[in-house]
Amino acid sequence: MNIFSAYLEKPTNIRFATQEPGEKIIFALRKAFVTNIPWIILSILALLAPTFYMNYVLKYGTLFSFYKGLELENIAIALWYVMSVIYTLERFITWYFNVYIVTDRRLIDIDFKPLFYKNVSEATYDNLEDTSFSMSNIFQTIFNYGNVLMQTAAEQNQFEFIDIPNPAKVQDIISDLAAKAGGGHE
Amino acid sequence: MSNMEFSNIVVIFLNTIVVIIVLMYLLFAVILVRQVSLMGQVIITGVDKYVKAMALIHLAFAFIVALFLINTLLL
Repeated sequence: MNIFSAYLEKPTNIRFATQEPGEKIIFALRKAFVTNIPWIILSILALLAPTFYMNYVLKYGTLFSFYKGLELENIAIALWYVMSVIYTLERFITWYFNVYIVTDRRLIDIDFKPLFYKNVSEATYDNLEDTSFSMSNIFQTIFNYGNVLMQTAAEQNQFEFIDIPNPAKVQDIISDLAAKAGGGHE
Repeated sequence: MSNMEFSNIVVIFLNTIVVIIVLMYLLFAVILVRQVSLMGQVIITGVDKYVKAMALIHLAFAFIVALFLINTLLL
Protein backbone atom coordinates (compact mmCIF):
# COMPACT_ATOMS: atom_id res chain seq x y z
CA MET A 1 0.00 0.00 0.00
CA ASN A 2 1.02 3.60 -0.28
CA ILE A 3 0.14 6.62 1.80
CA PHE A 4 -2.55 7.76 -0.66
CA SER A 5 -4.40 4.43 -0.98
CA ALA A 6 -8.16 4.74 -0.62
CA TYR A 7 -9.24 1.23 -1.63
CA LEU A 8 -7.53 -1.89 -0.39
CA GLU A 9 -8.99 -5.30 -0.95
CA LYS A 10 -7.80 -8.06 1.40
CA PRO A 11 -4.81 -6.03 2.62
CA THR A 12 -2.17 -8.05 4.42
CA ASN A 13 -0.21 -5.23 6.04
CA ILE A 14 -3.03 -3.48 7.91
CA ARG A 15 -4.24 -4.22 11.43
CA PHE A 16 -6.50 -2.36 13.82
CA ALA A 17 -6.51 -2.08 17.60
CA THR A 18 -9.62 -4.19 18.32
CA GLN A 19 -8.92 -6.88 15.72
CA GLU A 20 -9.71 -10.31 17.05
CA PRO A 21 -7.51 -13.36 16.48
CA GLY A 22 -8.36 -14.88 13.10
CA GLU A 23 -10.43 -11.87 11.99
CA LYS A 24 -9.65 -11.06 8.36
CA ILE A 25 -9.87 -7.61 6.81
CA ILE A 26 -11.74 -7.70 3.50
CA PHE A 27 -11.70 -4.00 2.68
CA ALA A 28 -9.83 -1.03 4.13
CA LEU A 29 -11.36 2.11 2.67
CA ARG A 30 -11.01 5.85 2.79
CA LYS A 31 -12.82 8.55 0.89
CA ALA A 32 -11.82 8.37 -2.79
CA PHE A 33 -8.62 10.31 -3.36
CA VAL A 34 -10.32 12.44 -6.01
CA THR A 35 -12.45 14.02 -3.25
CA ASN A 36 -9.23 15.67 -2.00
CA ILE A 37 -8.63 17.62 -5.21
CA PRO A 38 -10.55 20.80 -4.18
CA TRP A 39 -8.50 21.32 -0.99
CA ILE A 40 -5.26 20.34 -2.73
CA ILE A 41 -5.86 23.06 -5.37
CA LEU A 42 -6.78 25.54 -2.63
CA SER A 43 -3.63 24.66 -0.67
CA ILE A 44 -1.39 25.09 -3.72
CA LEU A 45 -2.99 28.48 -4.44
CA ALA A 46 -2.60 29.50 -0.80
CA LEU A 47 1.09 28.50 -0.81
CA LEU A 48 1.67 30.40 -4.07
CA ALA A 49 -0.26 33.51 -3.02
CA PRO A 50 2.70 35.23 -1.25
CA THR A 51 4.71 34.98 -4.52
CA PHE A 52 1.93 36.82 -6.37
CA TYR A 53 1.73 39.32 -3.54
CA MET A 54 5.49 40.01 -3.61
CA ASN A 55 5.24 40.62 -7.38
CA TYR A 56 2.54 43.16 -6.59
CA VAL A 57 4.76 44.79 -3.94
CA LEU A 58 7.68 45.05 -6.37
CA LYS A 59 5.45 46.80 -8.93
CA TYR A 60 3.18 48.97 -6.79
CA GLY A 61 4.72 49.09 -3.31
CA THR A 62 3.67 47.70 0.05
CA LEU A 63 0.11 47.56 1.36
CA PHE A 64 1.45 48.00 4.91
CA SER A 65 3.02 51.44 4.66
CA PHE A 66 1.20 52.53 7.85
CA TYR A 67 3.24 50.08 9.91
CA LYS A 68 6.82 51.24 9.44
CA GLY A 69 9.53 50.14 11.79
CA LEU A 70 8.58 46.46 11.78
CA GLU A 71 8.88 43.92 9.02
CA LEU A 72 5.15 43.50 8.79
CA GLU A 73 5.32 42.14 5.28
CA ASN A 74 7.49 39.24 6.46
CA ILE A 75 5.28 38.67 9.50
CA ALA A 76 2.12 38.66 7.38
CA ILE A 77 3.64 36.22 4.90
CA ALA A 78 4.89 33.92 7.67
CA LEU A 79 1.41 33.94 9.26
CA TRP A 80 -0.14 33.24 5.87
CA TYR A 81 2.12 30.20 5.42
CA VAL A 82 1.23 29.05 8.95
CA MET A 83 -2.50 29.20 8.15
CA SER A 84 -1.96 27.45 4.80
CA VAL A 85 0.08 24.65 6.39
CA ILE A 86 -2.51 24.19 9.18
CA TYR A 87 -5.31 23.98 6.60
CA THR A 88 -3.40 21.52 4.39
CA LEU A 89 -2.35 19.25 7.25
CA GLU A 90 -5.78 19.34 8.86
CA ARG A 91 -7.43 18.22 5.61
CA PHE A 92 -4.84 15.52 4.89
CA ILE A 93 -4.87 14.07 8.39
CA THR A 94 -8.69 14.08 8.45
CA TRP A 95 -8.75 12.15 5.17
CA TYR A 96 -5.95 9.79 6.18
CA PHE A 97 -7.41 8.73 9.54
CA ASN A 98 -11.06 8.44 8.52
CA VAL A 99 -11.06 4.77 7.67
CA TYR A 100 -13.81 2.27 6.98
CA ILE A 101 -12.96 -1.37 7.58
CA VAL A 102 -14.94 -4.36 6.42
CA THR A 103 -13.85 -7.61 8.04
CA ASP A 104 -15.32 -11.08 7.79
CA ARG A 105 -17.07 -10.46 11.16
CA ARG A 106 -18.10 -6.78 11.31
CA LEU A 107 -18.00 -3.26 9.90
CA ILE A 108 -15.86 -0.61 11.54
CA ASP A 109 -16.07 3.14 11.00
CA ILE A 110 -13.14 5.13 12.40
CA ASP A 111 -14.06 8.82 12.53
CA PHE A 112 -11.38 11.32 13.22
CA LYS A 113 -11.38 15.10 13.39
CA PRO A 114 -8.43 17.18 14.42
CA LEU A 115 -7.81 18.24 17.06
CA PHE A 116 -9.78 16.39 19.69
CA TYR A 117 -12.43 14.14 18.20
CA LYS A 118 -12.13 10.43 17.60
CA ASN A 119 -14.98 7.96 17.31
CA VAL A 120 -14.86 4.28 16.48
CA SER A 121 -18.18 2.59 15.78
CA GLU A 122 -18.89 -0.92 14.62
CA ALA A 123 -21.74 -3.13 13.53
CA THR A 124 -21.96 -6.89 13.24
CA TYR A 125 -23.52 -8.54 10.21
CA ASP A 126 -26.32 -10.21 12.16
CA ASN A 127 -27.59 -6.70 13.00
CA LEU A 128 -27.60 -5.58 9.39
CA GLU A 129 -31.07 -5.21 7.91
CA ASP A 130 -30.54 -3.53 4.59
CA THR A 131 -27.67 -2.23 2.48
CA SER A 132 -27.69 0.08 -0.51
CA PHE A 133 -25.27 2.23 -2.43
CA SER A 134 -25.65 5.51 -4.24
CA MET A 135 -23.69 7.55 -6.75
CA SER A 136 -25.50 10.82 -6.90
CA ASN A 137 -23.47 13.25 -8.96
CA ILE A 138 -21.47 13.41 -12.16
CA PHE A 139 -18.07 13.23 -10.41
CA GLN A 140 -19.10 10.11 -8.50
CA THR A 141 -20.17 8.49 -11.76
CA ILE A 142 -17.02 9.48 -13.66
CA PHE A 143 -14.58 8.50 -10.90
CA ASN A 144 -16.59 5.52 -9.62
CA TYR A 145 -17.06 6.48 -5.99
CA GLY A 146 -20.14 6.89 -3.82
CA ASN A 147 -21.88 6.11 -0.56
CA VAL A 148 -22.82 2.75 0.93
CA LEU A 149 -25.67 2.95 3.41
CA MET A 150 -26.40 0.16 5.89
CA GLN A 151 -29.46 -0.03 8.12
CA THR A 152 -28.89 -1.89 11.34
CA ALA A 153 -31.13 -3.11 14.13
CA ALA A 154 -28.73 -1.74 16.71
CA GLU A 155 -29.04 1.53 18.63
CA GLN A 156 -27.01 3.31 16.01
CA ASN A 157 -29.40 2.40 13.22
CA GLN A 158 -27.48 3.77 10.28
CA PHE A 159 -23.99 3.07 9.15
CA GLU A 160 -22.67 5.00 6.20
CA PHE A 161 -19.46 4.73 4.21
CA ILE A 162 -19.16 8.07 2.44
CA ASP A 163 -17.46 8.70 -0.91
CA ILE A 164 -15.71 5.34 -1.01
CA PRO A 165 -14.24 3.96 -4.24
CA ASN A 166 -16.08 1.15 -6.02
CA PRO A 167 -19.26 1.29 -3.85
CA ALA A 168 -21.12 -1.33 -5.91
CA LYS A 169 -18.57 -4.04 -5.16
CA VAL A 170 -18.28 -3.07 -1.49
CA GLN A 171 -22.06 -3.10 -1.06
CA ASP A 172 -22.30 -6.47 -2.83
CA ILE A 173 -19.70 -8.09 -0.55
CA ILE A 174 -21.23 -6.59 2.61
CA SER A 175 -24.61 -7.85 1.47
CA ASP A 176 -23.21 -11.37 0.96
CA LEU A 177 -21.54 -11.34 4.37
CA ALA A 178 -24.78 -10.20 6.03
CA ALA A 179 -26.73 -12.95 4.27
CA LYS A 180 -24.17 -15.51 5.43
CA ALA A 181 -24.39 -14.24 9.01
CA GLY A 182 -28.16 -14.69 8.91
CA GLY A 183 -29.17 -11.08 9.56
CA GLY A 184 -32.44 -9.66 8.29
CA HIS A 185 -30.72 -9.23 4.98
CA GLU A 186 -31.98 -10.89 1.80
CA MET B 1 -4.16 61.06 21.20
CA SER B 2 -1.18 61.80 18.94
CA ASN B 3 -0.41 59.80 15.82
CA MET B 4 2.65 58.35 17.56
CA GLU B 5 0.60 57.05 20.50
CA PHE B 6 -2.00 55.56 18.17
CA SER B 7 0.74 53.92 16.11
CA ASN B 8 2.25 52.40 19.29
CA ILE B 9 -1.12 50.99 20.35
CA VAL B 10 -1.57 49.41 16.90
CA VAL B 11 1.94 47.91 17.09
CA ILE B 12 1.32 46.43 20.57
CA PHE B 13 -2.07 45.09 19.46
CA LEU B 14 -0.64 43.45 16.32
CA ASN B 15 2.32 42.00 18.23
CA THR B 16 -0.03 40.46 20.80
CA ILE B 17 -2.18 38.93 18.06
CA VAL B 18 0.88 37.48 16.32
CA VAL B 19 2.23 35.98 19.56
CA ILE B 20 -1.16 34.40 20.34
CA ILE B 21 -1.40 32.92 16.82
CA VAL B 22 2.16 31.56 17.06
CA LEU B 23 1.50 29.95 20.46
CA MET B 24 -1.73 28.39 19.16
CA TYR B 25 0.15 27.11 16.12
CA LEU B 26 2.80 25.50 18.33
CA LEU B 27 0.04 23.89 20.38
CA PHE B 28 -1.58 22.61 17.18
CA ALA B 29 1.75 21.11 16.04
CA VAL B 30 2.29 19.34 19.38
CA ILE B 31 -1.29 17.98 19.48
CA LEU B 32 -0.91 16.80 15.89
CA VAL B 33 2.17 14.74 16.78
CA ARG B 34 0.31 13.23 19.74
CA GLN B 35 -2.80 12.48 17.72
CA VAL B 36 -0.89 10.90 14.85
CA SER B 37 0.87 8.73 17.40
CA LEU B 38 -2.45 7.71 19.05
CA MET B 39 -4.18 7.03 15.73
CA GLY B 40 -1.19 4.94 14.72
CA GLN B 41 -2.22 2.57 17.53
CA VAL B 42 -5.87 2.46 16.42
CA ILE B 43 -5.07 1.50 12.85
CA ILE B 44 -1.69 0.08 12.02
CA THR B 45 -0.57 0.35 8.41
CA GLY B 46 2.80 -0.09 6.76
CA VAL B 47 3.12 3.64 6.09
CA ASP B 48 2.49 5.05 9.58
CA LYS B 49 6.13 6.00 9.91
CA TYR B 50 5.84 8.49 7.04
CA VAL B 51 2.85 10.23 8.62
CA LYS B 52 4.64 10.33 11.99
CA ALA B 53 7.74 11.76 10.28
CA MET B 54 5.57 14.38 8.57
CA ALA B 55 4.05 15.42 11.93
CA LEU B 56 7.52 15.71 13.52
CA ILE B 57 8.91 17.72 10.58
CA HIS B 58 5.88 19.99 10.90
CA LEU B 59 6.60 20.44 14.62
CA ALA B 60 10.18 21.46 13.77
CA PHE B 61 8.83 23.86 11.12
CA ALA B 62 6.43 25.33 13.71
CA PHE B 63 9.34 26.00 16.12
CA ILE B 64 11.38 27.68 13.35
CA VAL B 65 8.41 29.89 12.37
CA ALA B 66 7.78 30.75 16.03
CA LEU B 67 11.44 31.69 16.57
CA PHE B 68 11.47 33.77 13.38
CA LEU B 69 8.32 35.66 14.28
CA ILE B 70 9.22 36.28 17.92
CA ASN B 71 12.74 37.35 16.89
CA THR B 72 11.28 39.74 14.29
CA LEU B 73 8.88 41.23 16.81
CA LEU B 74 11.42 41.67 19.60
CA LEU B 75 14.37 43.01 17.59
